[in-house]
Order: sequence, then C-alpha cells, then structure tokens
Amino acid sequence: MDLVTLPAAVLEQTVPILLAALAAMITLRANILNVAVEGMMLVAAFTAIAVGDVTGNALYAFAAALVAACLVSQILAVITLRFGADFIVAGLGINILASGSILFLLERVYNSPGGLRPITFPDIWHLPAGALSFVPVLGPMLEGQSFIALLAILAIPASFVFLYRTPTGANLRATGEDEAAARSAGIRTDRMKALALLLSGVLAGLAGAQLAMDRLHFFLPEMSAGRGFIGLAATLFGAGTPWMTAAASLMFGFFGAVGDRLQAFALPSQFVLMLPYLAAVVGLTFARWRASTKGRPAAITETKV
Amino acid sequence: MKAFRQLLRAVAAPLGAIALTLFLGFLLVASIADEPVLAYRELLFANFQSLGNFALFINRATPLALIAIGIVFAFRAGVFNVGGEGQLYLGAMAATVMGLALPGLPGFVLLPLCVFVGIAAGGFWGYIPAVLKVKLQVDEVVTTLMLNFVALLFTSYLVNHLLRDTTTYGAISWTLPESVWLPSIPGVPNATSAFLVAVVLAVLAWVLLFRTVWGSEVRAAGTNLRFAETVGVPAARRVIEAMIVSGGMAGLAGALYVLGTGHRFEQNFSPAYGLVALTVALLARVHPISALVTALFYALMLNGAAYMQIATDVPRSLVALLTGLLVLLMTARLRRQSSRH
Amino acid sequence: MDGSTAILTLQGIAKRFGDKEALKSVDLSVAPGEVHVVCGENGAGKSTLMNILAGIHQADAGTISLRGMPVSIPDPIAASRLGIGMVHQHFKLVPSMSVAENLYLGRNPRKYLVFSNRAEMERRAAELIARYRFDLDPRAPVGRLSVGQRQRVEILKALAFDAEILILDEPTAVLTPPEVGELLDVIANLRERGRTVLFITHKLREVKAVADHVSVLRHGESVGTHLAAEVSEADIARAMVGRQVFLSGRGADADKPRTFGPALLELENVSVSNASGRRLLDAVSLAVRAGEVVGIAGVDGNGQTELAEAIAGLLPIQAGTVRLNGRAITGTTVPERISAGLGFVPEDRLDRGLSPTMTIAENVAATNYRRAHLLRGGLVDPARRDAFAERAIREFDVRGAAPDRAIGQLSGGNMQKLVVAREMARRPRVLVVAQPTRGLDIGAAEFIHSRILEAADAGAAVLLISSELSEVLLLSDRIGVMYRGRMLAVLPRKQAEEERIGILMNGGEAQAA
Repeated sequence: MDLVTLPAAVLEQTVPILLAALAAMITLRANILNVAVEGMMLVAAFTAIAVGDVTGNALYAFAAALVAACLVSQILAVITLRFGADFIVAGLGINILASGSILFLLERVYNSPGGLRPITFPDIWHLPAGALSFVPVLGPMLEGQSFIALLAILAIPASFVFLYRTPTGANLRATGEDEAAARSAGIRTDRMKALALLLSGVLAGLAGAQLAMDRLHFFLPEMSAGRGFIGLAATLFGAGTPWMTAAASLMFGFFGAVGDRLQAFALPSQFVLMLPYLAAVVGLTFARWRASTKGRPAAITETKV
Repeated sequence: MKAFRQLLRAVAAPLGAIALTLFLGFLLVASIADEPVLAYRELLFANFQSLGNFALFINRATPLALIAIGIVFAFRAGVFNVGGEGQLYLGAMAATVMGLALPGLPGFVLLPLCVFVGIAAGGFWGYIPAVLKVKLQVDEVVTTLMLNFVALLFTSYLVNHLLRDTTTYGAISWTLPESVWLPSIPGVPNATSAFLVAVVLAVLAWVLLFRTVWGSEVRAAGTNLRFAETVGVPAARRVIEAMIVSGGMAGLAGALYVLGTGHRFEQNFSPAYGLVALTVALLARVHPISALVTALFYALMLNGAAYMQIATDVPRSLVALLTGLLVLLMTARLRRQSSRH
Repeated sequence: MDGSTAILTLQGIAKRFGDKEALKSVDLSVAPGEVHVVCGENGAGKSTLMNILAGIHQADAGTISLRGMPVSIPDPIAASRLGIGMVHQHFKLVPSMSVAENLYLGRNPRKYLVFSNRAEMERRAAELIARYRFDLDPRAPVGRLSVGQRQRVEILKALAFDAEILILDEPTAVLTPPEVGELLDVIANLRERGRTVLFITHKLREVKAVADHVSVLRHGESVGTHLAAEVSEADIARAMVGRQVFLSGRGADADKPRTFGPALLELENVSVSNASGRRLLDAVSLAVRAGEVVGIAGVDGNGQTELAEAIAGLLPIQAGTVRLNGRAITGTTVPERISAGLGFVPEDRLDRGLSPTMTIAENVAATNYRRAHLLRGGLVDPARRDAFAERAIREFDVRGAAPDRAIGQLSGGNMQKLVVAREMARRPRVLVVAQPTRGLDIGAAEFIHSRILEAADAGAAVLLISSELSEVLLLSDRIGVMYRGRMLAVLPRKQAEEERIGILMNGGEAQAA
C-alpha cells in the first residue's frame, strides 16, 4: 500500500462525503431526514459542467452549481412545507426527478445519454504544492486539493458555530427537537426548515461541484454514486453533531480510499464499500440500545411522574 | 358491493395525480416534439400492438406488482419499508444460488426450492429492520434504506466473484438449468407466468388484510400500537410478521424474475423496482388490488417510453422525469387527504 | 367587582368549532394583582377561553379589554406583547437545551450581531431565578429536571416576557401533592409582586387556599363570580354542574343492604416498578366481589393508571398475584385475560381505547371476533361485523354513527360509549373502567354510569378508577384511596366521608384505615 499518497487519497474521498454529510446533518437537526442530497449533488455536478462548458468560466460554473442545488432544495421545501408532502417520499421523488431531468437534457439537448464531456473546461483553484508545508501532517495532505476541499473542512467548525452559537442555530435546533415548543416561542418553524434545506442545498452544491470540477471535468449520470446516502449514513452515525459527523465521514472516506487499494489484495471492494451503511445501522442500533438500557431521564412529554 | 365501492375509491383516488402528470408530460412533449399526439399514442398504446410488446409489458409489471403488494403489508403495519430494492436483490440472488447449486434435482423439486429460498432471503431482510424497530425503536426508514445498499453490494460481490459467467462480458451469473424456468402464460409467448402469481397474490393479500382477524390485527397495530396491545393483539409480533411478508413478497419478486424472465442474475436487473414499487403502493392508497392496477399503469409508461423514442424524437428519459413529477404530485395530495381526519 | 378598575375584562366571548359551540357567551372581569380561579367541568370551555386570551384561537364574537382598552390578540406573540403569558398544561420546552436557553428561545441576546450571547443569557436567567426565589440552575438541561421544576421554567418563561397576567392551564394535573404545595407558594409570591394570575382548574380543592375570586364556567357560559372565601367547594361544584349532582347511584342509597357474590377480582401484594426502580405499585391488595362496584380515588399519577394496566395485562407485575374468578392470571397475556372474562375500559380512549382512523365496526369488533361469531369459515364476515356494530350503536344510542365511518370522527362521548359497548358486549365477569367519563358532557356521563351499574347488577365485579371524587362517591359500594402507589385504605361507602377521602388522597392519616 502506498503510504505517501494514501492521506491525500483519503481526503479526496472524504470531501464529497463530508459535504453531503453536513448537508444531511443541517436538515436532520431540523427533524428532516434528507434523502434528496444525492439528487441535489447530481444537479450541481451537471450544472457545473454545463455552465462551465458554455461560459468557459470556472467561477460561473461553481456559482451556478450552488444555485442549482439550492433551487432543488427549495422545490423540496415548497412541496413538503407548503403542500404537506412526506419528506421521505418527496425526497426520493426529487432524486428520480433530478436524474430523470438530467438524462432528458443529455438526450434531448446534448444528444449524448452517456454523459457530458466538454472538450475544454476551465480549472478551479487548487492549493499549490508547498503552500502549506509549514503545517505538519495536514499541510501536505491539503496541498493540491481544490478550494472546495478547503471550504469543506471549514464547514465543520462553521456548522458547529452556526448550530450552537447563533440564535438562528438555536431556533433551528428547537424546531427539530420540539416543534410545538419552538412555535410557542414565536419561531416560524416552516421557515427554519426551509432554511435548513437551503443550507443543505449549498453544502450539497459544494459536494456536486467538487465531484465534477475538482479533477474530472466531465459529468456522468451515475457520478454521485450514492455519496448522498453515505453522507446521510455518516450523519446518522455521528448522531447529527458536526465533529462526530466529520469523523464518520473521514472514516468512510478512509474505507473508500482503502477499498480501492484492497482489490490488489484480493479482498473484494464490495465489503469495504458496505461498511458505511452497516456502520449507520449498527451505530443507530447501538445508540438506541444504550438509551433503552440506561433508563434515561423521563421524556419531556411524559406527564405522569 | 361495498367492498367493490371501497376498491373503486382506492383506485379512483390517485387518478388525479396521474392525469395531471400525463397532462404536464404532454405539454412538455408538445413543446419539443413535432408529433406530440403520435408520441403519446406510442407511449400509451404501443404496448398492445403486438404480442411481443404485450409480453414485455407483463414482464415489466410483474416485479413491480409483487413488491408493491408486499409494501402494502408493511405500510398497513405502520412500517415505512423503503427496503424493497434490497429485498428484491437478495431474493433474486438466493434463487439463483439455489438453482445453480443443485442443478441435478428435478424441476418440480428445485423450482419450489428456489422460490422458497427467494422468499426466505427477502423475508429475512425485512425481519431485521422490523425487529430493530419493535425492540429498540430504531427508525425503519433509515435501516431499510441502508440495508438496500448492503444487499446490492453483497449480491454484486457474489455475481462478480462466485457466480460470474466467465464466457460472457459483464456481471452476469451462469444461466439456470432450464428445468427451473417458469413457463410462459399460455397464448402469450415470453410473458412470465409469474404475473398470474401476482394476480392471485393481490387477491389473497386483500383477503388477508381485510377479511381475516390477522389482517385486522396488523392494521390495528399499524394505526395505533397501544390500542392494539389493549385489545389483546400481540402487536410487536404482528408488525414483524407483516414485515416478513413484505420482504418475502419482494424476495419472491426477485426469485420469480430470475426464474421467469432473466433465467440468471444480472447485477443491474432492476431499474429501481423497489423504489418505484414504493410509490406504486402509495399511489394505490395502500390497497393490494389497486397496487396491481397501478403497477400495470407504471409498466405501461415505462415500456411505452421506449416505443415513443423509436417512433418520435422524444427521449425515453421523459418517463423518468414524469415518474419523479408523479411522485412529488402524488405525495402532496396524499398528505392533504389524510390531514382531514 | 367594578369593571373600570379591572385589568382584564371579557364580554360576550363566543367561539364555535365546526358544529360544536365551545363558548356561548362568557363574561369575566379580573382585578389587577389577584389570583382568579376559573372553574368548570371538562368540556365547559375553560381551555378554549384561555387559548383565546393567549392568541392561539380567535373569538368569533365578544370583546377583550386590557386596562380598559379593547384589544385584539391575533397570535401568541401579540399576547406576550400585551403582557399575557400562558403556562400550558403540556410544557413547551426543548429538553436538550439549558434552562437559560429555553427561557430565551426565539429571542437570544446577541453579540457581534450574529452570535448568541450565552453569558448574558445565563446572567439574566440567574437574575430572574433569584428574583422569584426559584430553585433552578440556569445551565441545567431541561430534560434532566423534574416535572415540577419544568413547570417553574415555564412560569419563568412567561415572566421573562414581563407578563403581567399569567394564565396557568390545569397546572396541578401533572404535579404530585408536595409539588402542588410548592406551586401554590410560587403563586402567592407572584401575587405579592403585583402579578395577576388566572388559574384554570376543575379541582377547586387544591387551589382554594390561594384564590381571591372564583369564576365558574358551565357549557360555555359564565355563571357567576364569587369571593373565594365566601363559597364552599360544594357550592362551586353545584354551580359547575348546574343542578344537584348525580342523583342516581349506589353512593346515594348506601344504606340499602346489598349482598355480593364471591370475589371475582383479587389482588395480593401486587407490586410494579419502573426501569429506574421506582415503585409504581407498592404491595397493593384488593378484592372485588360479584355485583360490587369498588371505586379507586386518588390524585392523578399515584398509581391508578398502573393498577388498571397491571390488571389488564399491559404492565408486567414484579411481585404479587392477580386472580380472576379464582384463577391466577398474573403472568398471562392480554387475550388470555380477555378469555378469562376481563373487560377493560382504558383511561384515554384516543390512546389505548380505540384506533381513530379505523372504522367503527372494526373498533367495536376488535375484542369480539370469535366470541360474537363474526367469522365465517375462518374469515371475517363483514355483514355480521357491521350488524354487530349496528347493535352497539343502537344500544348505546350513538347518534350519527354508521359502521363504516372512521371512529375518530365521532365526539368524545360517542367514542367512549362505543369503547364501553365493545367491552360490555362480552358480558365480562370483571370490568375495569378507568376515567370512564373524562371530558364527557353530563348526558353521556350519566348514560355510561348507568351502564356500569347495570353490569354490576348483572353480577360483574366492577373496579372503577377515577380522579373525579364525586364520580367515585356516587357509584361505589366501597372506596379505595391510592397514594404514591399504595392502597392507603379501602372503606365501605358509609365510612367514606368526602373529607376523610380528601385527607387520604393527600397522603395524610394513613392510619385512617
């Protein structure tokens, strides 16, 4: 195993998962299980390539990706919050609609159902080699990574500060934990949920942009490869808290990077790829098991003493 | 008579969402196609133009119907089973393994064995989230969703490493012995007789759910668990049983697909049948017979799209787009209806 | 009271929900700095009235005046701006957040514009807690607090908004007796500080000590305001019901000699503990004979719910024996107990009593499929099932009901009638009824009372659990009192004076038995 390039490979695998996980985490704190991260990522990746292809400008492509993912998130917000659709079904519907619309555009506009490969595509900014050599361990890992990777790492403390150190974050958590209590405190809970979805859109947009723009510079319909769901698994495994979610993402990114290499050792990659999903199930089960054996303090709705 | 009216209501309810989707789709087709009417005629009617087309249509509808009927059981027991896809894959894989492992057995022994292990594998995959939900209140949406990926990856491992037909290209298993192939529907060559199984099971499911004490107990547990306990229903057990049935039906769909249509396991044999079946079940207002009808409608659209693409310049992915639209429109309606209670 | 000096005046307030008239015409005048108790039976419209004041509902007619000025209260935020704070019966608190965070939820003090100023928040919370001399830690997560402490957080929340008028909705319902005492101290303290307190309850007994005025609501109408010192509980009770309370019942003719059969329901030292080891039932012994009604009185939360569920088989019994008809049923399942002749009307019809989205026929048939021959060839016969439900509907006079309608669409009284109908249909040897008339109007309540007595007359052993003492006194041949999981005493009706029961309910005079 190549020990020199492994850290960089882990980071590369981790970044999209981390962004997807944070996207799912923000909505989870508003009590929304966001299964549409996958679709938002896909739309962002497609938009990035399509806009970059037309404009030849990396910044436009990047911005368009974020806007597109946010738009998708707000479609989900309207259909669930305004029209009362179920979050799971609507989220899965968004995924079908996203991949369906993209395929439709690929077939109809680009005449290439297999994907979108512009001949030239603008590069985004990557950290130059040696720029961070003064930082031990992390420095060399980050060198050569895109600025989106940097944003992803900054998003961990940022989401922590947002959730636990701002009034809006407190309102969002209150909305997720006890909607009636939040409403009675004058919080507009629907707006909080729409905001959570919007932030989720931004983060999923970053994830999609990273997938399409970091190195590949092309779009494939199966490009997101379930990373939205791995991110969801990471969030659930990390119990919806930023640091634990990030740690779980790193772990899953490590599995991914190692999985690629383990094939050389005849260990089937499928079992490695399975780990995030198994970890989510086992993690949740373990958390519930501990809660049920510990005899927790009475739930707040319990009126009997 | 009352049961018929009840059924009519269940079937009629989702027609609005379907009509609206078809209308929006038509607007879309009209804006891009030269011959929108021809496109839509192909979409809706090409399935019946030849026996061959009709057989393909039946083959498409069968797994959808079987999984959706299974999901009806889960929903009626209050379990949101998103795991149809994983249960389907495991069922298909189990049947394949059994058929390839004991090719020497006579068909009348091996075929039931294949079907049985398919049901058992799917049922097992429904049992896990059910037990976790009942005993530890682990959210079943998450577990069924995550277990899908586990099942997909596991079957992918088996088909790539152990069962792979090395004479062809791609992740495809060896072909099953012909002794276990299901016959076609008499008079319709290549149409899987598994469809007849689905029809029988739809009726049976309706009887089970609405005409047996077991069914009323499942539904009591699904609508109000504490009420169910109070009136003497072993509620936890009923929920688990319903989920085993649900997973078993998806497993059966997988097994019958392999035995009747595919005759071997292909890694990507399902175009998200599990997920589409989930929406079929919801669209059918969680009613087994209406689920069968809705599955037929979906299959009609899915296959019709291919004919539409051949006959006109409308891409077949229009159907994926319409499916997504339909799911969104349908759930929006669903909630508004249930909030009236 | 002179309306011009009142801080809050209501005139002709009316409200209807669909075809149900919750409030017909309510007048109320509250003086500044007083504790004003609003009494009324369940369903008299107390909560609706207070929700109108809190901005949760809007009145259809009538005027609300604050300090002589007419006001409109379109939402809870407007109410708090006007200085009206509401303490809900069901707390509106976020468990994972601290006391301080809950107090300032939705209006965190800020620093640098975007961040929460947590130090400031905790300082203000500590100040508020100190000012009202509450025993709370501003940093403690609310999820770890006791129910009484949570209620104080709720009260502080209202006070943090500078509420001049504090509305407490049935605050004692969730408290243990000592906590009730502490709450009354808190209220007395608030009055000293010039706050006005509106106290909603249907148990005058508990709050009479701190009340200045008592207003009574009946069927959505105000029927008078009295000085608390000048009226007796009996006066208020009569005013609440509107006539002599409950004329027919066994309690009324307790002198009439009755003979009972053998004991059909026997409990011997039955104990139940919860996960953390607290005794919910503490060595309870009791026997109910054929033809007898034994009533269980007690303040809510002293083990009555657990007693009913332990007998019904819904709560595992750790020690002791339950016998039904002479046979031990301690470890048996619910269906086995039903077969052995148990009928059970649970305390909350929407929780355990029925499944609101299922049809009336299915709800009524639920425990009766085999016994009432609703099956044919192993399958449910819908015709027989519907006929069975029709019969229940007719016998229990449930108007506007059809077998294929969802039962949740019926009124509370009609739902309760059908729950009782289902359990009575089997002619149970032992009938356990918990809070059978909670939230019901008088007519439905009397109907259900008469059915319970009929069952006893026909030879069933009836265990009646109710937090309405009047109901227990009315129906029972013997009365047991529960306090903190123990059966303090089981008294023959003649020895069960109301006063004595009241003392026992508060845990006093344990030797009275």
